[in-house]
Amino acid sequence: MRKPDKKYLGGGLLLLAATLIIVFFQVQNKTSSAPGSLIYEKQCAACHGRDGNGLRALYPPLKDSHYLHAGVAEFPCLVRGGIRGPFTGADGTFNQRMPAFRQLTGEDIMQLMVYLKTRWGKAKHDTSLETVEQWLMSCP
Amino acid sequence: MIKTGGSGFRLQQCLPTSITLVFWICVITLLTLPAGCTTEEREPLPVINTISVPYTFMDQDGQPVSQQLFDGNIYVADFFFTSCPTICPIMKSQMLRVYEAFREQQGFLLLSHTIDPVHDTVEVLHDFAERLQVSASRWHMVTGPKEQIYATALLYGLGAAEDKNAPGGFIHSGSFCLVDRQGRIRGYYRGTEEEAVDRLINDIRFLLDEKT
Repeated sequence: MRKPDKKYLGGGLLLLAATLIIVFFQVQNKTSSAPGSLIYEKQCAACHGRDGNGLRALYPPLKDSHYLHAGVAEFPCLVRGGIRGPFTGADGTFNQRMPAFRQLTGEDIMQLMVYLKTRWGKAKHDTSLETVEQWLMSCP
Repeated sequence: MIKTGGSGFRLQQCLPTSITLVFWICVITLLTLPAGCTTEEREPLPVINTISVPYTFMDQDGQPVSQQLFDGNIYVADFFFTSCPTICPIMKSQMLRVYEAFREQQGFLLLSHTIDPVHDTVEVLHDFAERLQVSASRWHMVTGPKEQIYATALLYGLGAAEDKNAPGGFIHSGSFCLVDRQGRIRGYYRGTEEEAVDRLINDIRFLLDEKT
């Protein structure tokens, strides 16, 4: 029996690699249909970036943000109340106005936090609906 | 009658080689297709209108900015406001790509007009530009009397208006306007779309090479 020709083996591997690269980029570009993802794309991504990196010193990053780690309890009130004027947080000092997203329910914010934590948060904080509602009740 | 001896053996050897050859020709053709397109002679960009703004505005460094500053320069103009919560952040991140692509390019400028001059004073624009880490020598962010800025938007063919029901209180076009060295509008590009801004960057390069 003849052994497979190395020429064809190389071509096959090339095709396989090309297919894998295409599939990889399609998966990367696919927007998740999770509720939190849709809220992020609609309400947050314009400033904080689809990649979560923000924009230089103008808009703060959400990727690895303090508010997805130790400061997670402050997150719901920041979203609900917005920010006006200079704001110094653990991620630096920023001076853009963030709208108050009063239309977002506790469940919306919970879904957003689940999405953000899954994507960029490392610490496993409790962000159940009950906990988020409690944090919202203590907003200034 | 077909001979199946020596010629049959040759056919077996020859057929896979032909398939391989066709495969590689297809791959090479596909890979070289975009390069082939770019080397073709391009049509000149259309001349849409000639612009001449009769007003003088102030930029983020408090310097007066009038049409004379742009004479002989290629530039991109747009309209925004710093507290805009919707399309402006995307427009600014895309304009930043244009800025970075031509930051060392002589004869090229950017011009962003605020449509909220009550809030966007020289100081606010200065802080905005500083945080964006851009230089006023290349990218002018200007403010001035509201009616003059709105009239200027019309001259550029871009819409801007107050709207209390809109997020942030204003509505405006998200397009970038490309103007050549003679003050002629040569194209409009959606400032919220990466592909459109890629096209803008290519068109700026094309205009830079265009003989005046």
